[in-house]
Amino acid sequence: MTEPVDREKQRKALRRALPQLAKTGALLDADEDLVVYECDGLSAYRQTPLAVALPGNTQQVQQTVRACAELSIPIVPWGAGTGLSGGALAVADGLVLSLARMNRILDIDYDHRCVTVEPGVTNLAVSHAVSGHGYYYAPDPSSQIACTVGGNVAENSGGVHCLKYGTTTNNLLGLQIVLADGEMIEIGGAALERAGYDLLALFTGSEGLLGVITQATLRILRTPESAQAMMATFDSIGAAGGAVADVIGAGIVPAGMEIMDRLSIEAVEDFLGCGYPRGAAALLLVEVDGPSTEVNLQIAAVETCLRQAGATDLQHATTAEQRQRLWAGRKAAFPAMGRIAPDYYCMDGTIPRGQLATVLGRIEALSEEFDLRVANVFHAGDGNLHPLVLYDGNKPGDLEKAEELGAEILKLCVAVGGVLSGEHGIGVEKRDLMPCMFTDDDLDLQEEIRLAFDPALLLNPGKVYPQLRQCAEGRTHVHGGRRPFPDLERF
Amino acid sequence: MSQIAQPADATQLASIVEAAARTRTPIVTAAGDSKWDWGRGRADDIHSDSSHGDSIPTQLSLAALSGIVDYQPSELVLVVGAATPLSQIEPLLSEQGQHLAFEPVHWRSTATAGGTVAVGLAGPRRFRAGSVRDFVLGLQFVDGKGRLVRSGGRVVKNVSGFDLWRGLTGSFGGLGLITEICFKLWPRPEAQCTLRFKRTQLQAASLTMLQLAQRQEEISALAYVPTQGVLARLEGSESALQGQIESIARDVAIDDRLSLEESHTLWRALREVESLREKSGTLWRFVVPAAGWVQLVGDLTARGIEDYHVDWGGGQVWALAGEGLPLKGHEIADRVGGIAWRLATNRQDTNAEGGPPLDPGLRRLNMRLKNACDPQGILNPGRGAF
Repeated sequence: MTEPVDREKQRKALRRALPQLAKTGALLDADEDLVVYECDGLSAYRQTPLAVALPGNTQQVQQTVRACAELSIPIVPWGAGTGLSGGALAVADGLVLSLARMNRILDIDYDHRCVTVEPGVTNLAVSHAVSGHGYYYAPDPSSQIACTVGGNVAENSGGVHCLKYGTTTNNLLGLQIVLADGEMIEIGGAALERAGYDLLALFTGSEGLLGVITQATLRILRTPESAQAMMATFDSIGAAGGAVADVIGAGIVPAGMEIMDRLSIEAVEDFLGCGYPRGAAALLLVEVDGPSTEVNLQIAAVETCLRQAGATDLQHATTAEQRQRLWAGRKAAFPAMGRIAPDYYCMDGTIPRGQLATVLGRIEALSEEFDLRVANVFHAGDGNLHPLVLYDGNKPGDLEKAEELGAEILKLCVAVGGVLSGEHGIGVEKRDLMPCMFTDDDLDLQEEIRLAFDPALLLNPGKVYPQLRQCAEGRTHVHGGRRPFPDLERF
Repeated sequence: MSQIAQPADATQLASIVEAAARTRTPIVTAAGDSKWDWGRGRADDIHSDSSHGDSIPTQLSLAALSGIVDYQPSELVLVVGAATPLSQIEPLLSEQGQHLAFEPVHWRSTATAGGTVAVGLAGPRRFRAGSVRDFVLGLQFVDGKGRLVRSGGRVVKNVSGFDLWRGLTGSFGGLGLITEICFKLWPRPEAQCTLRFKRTQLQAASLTMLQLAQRQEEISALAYVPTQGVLARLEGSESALQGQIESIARDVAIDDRLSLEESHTLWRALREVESLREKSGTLWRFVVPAAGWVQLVGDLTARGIEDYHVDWGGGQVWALAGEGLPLKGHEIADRVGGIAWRLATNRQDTNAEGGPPLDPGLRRLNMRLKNACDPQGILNPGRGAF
């Protein structure tokens, strides 16, 4: 453990080092101003930062990062704070570096089909800016109305269309980054390849550990000419999973495929009454998009697959309104949980699609074992599972039990050949599970790369990489003793 | 010439590298050796701080790391040993109606999966589908310390740890020696059709390409060949293609349609740069912002270079500098905001100017990554074109 830090002394030093931010109200260090930044979307973890800086341009980001480097103050980059893994959780003696004020769209280039934005631009604002020209930005995380491009890049965010259109990394052409020492670098742009190693790929999804993103150039796509959706009901989750495999086996890559289980369907119907089949064991939503002649053929082929796989009820949505109605329930799945439980804990493992029935069976058993209900919504196209563990935060021990159950689910995902996180990131939430997925050698190399980019480990410390490496088997060792920062508090 | 050792498996390869790291002996690897002319140059640049003196490189053949590890058509996933030949992989996938959507460039018949990933070069479908690294879900590799490491996985969506596997793609074995690859697969389109738009003026050709690139039809490849004009490949279901063609024809005058056989031949020839490689001279590859190709081609022709073709909707230009026509490729690429590679003309060609130069900041960052993955600088020195 380090010496307790004199917060007031550090705050004063920051104000002195960043006079321009301080005098324009872009450096917050009064306790009442910091409350907003005490947690991100994973509200079970809370920590008030030392201060918050809101730089307005790249140069100010550089100044801030340099000042922090000099004062040995850790930095936690912050977009909109919508992340679900505690990736933007403050550090007690650290600065939250909010990119919220850097929210301009800098350039729209239809010739090269790309848009250059500052990191604080929201995901949805990118699509809005180009929709009039018939374009959109493909990655669409469910928080897209609020989450920022900077955060999307840091977490390599996905959404419901990843199988066909990829995640952020597949839709990114360039970055401007401020490194841990305050140096600014630019990678990529309108050309499809860059000189040197693929640093663009390395930075994407690095959860703020390698640098602060100050600009991004995003690939935009033409809005498909046509889109059609279909909803099918199944007697079992296994049958729905089988239908997904059949669709892909038939050579169709739908834009989106979503499965919901019985509990999710009930919750959504209670919440919205959008016409989902109550009592069904599983519901499958499939959407295909592309040129209209192609879409017509594909939706017919999808229907054949679904019927052969045992779909008991089929509904078509050919107009935009019908499609929206079908999707409304799925999109409301998370808030709907609020109707049936005081709290829920959203997990984010990815599994090979074929393991769906096995994994859901095991989750059901775990649910009984822990005596907590689990609702399942599943990005079936890309194998991304979002079990929602329902609990009551006011009941002593319930949160801990929910977290323990969540960890068991993620270990299960890894055991069947999947991964700990599909799109929410490791953050603080899952960092202690990393040894379940990676060997010591795997993690050593990743941490050596991190050290090469940030030797003082000031960028988003305490995230992604475990301080104590252990997994279910009890393999434990303290690693290196490299991290000079106090452990993050857990509530 | 030292003898070429052939490790039997990844573990054996790891111990060879571990021993080499201790003695700082450089290691040079190949599997099919089909792309030996790629990515040479600038070795002294990156290793200026870690000279290897006179140590003779250990040459390793990775050919034994071959074979299909796992293929699950319904998961759209293929796991293979790095040395598995493309000639084995492609027919296997084809039987299931699937393929590697980035259209791997073979270059020579011995091309392997590992070489494809290490070089990171995608074919004409790069225009629509993405590059090699967009279709790699995970890798197993040996790093410069001799550790056998895994990064990534077998699923499409994955944010667990740094995306090292994507970083290694295109690194020419300079960050790690790839031993196993997990590819994301894609259904192979049932049918294709190539449309031709005769355009003799470059500006007109460029305009047509921009127009086509911005359309909603499934144009999977878009090229300009001086002798032919603009060529666009549509892909999809047999019965839906006609609808797409009609829709294009409403806005852009189509001059003719290639037969299916002509279409296959054309895109293979462009992918493998066949017509330029048949002639003697120095081959250059340019990657530029798509709207910049006309200026680049203007610069090339002003220097007497007439052999070229444009791919990736304008984003990639291949050119052949005939003998006696020295070309400052990096300079003319830089003028349009692009980069260039020169291919080695023979195995003795040191190709000092092979890779695109890096500005000082990026160069430092690249070196940090290189040093973290390969602290002794022993992995394939001289490859990795920067």
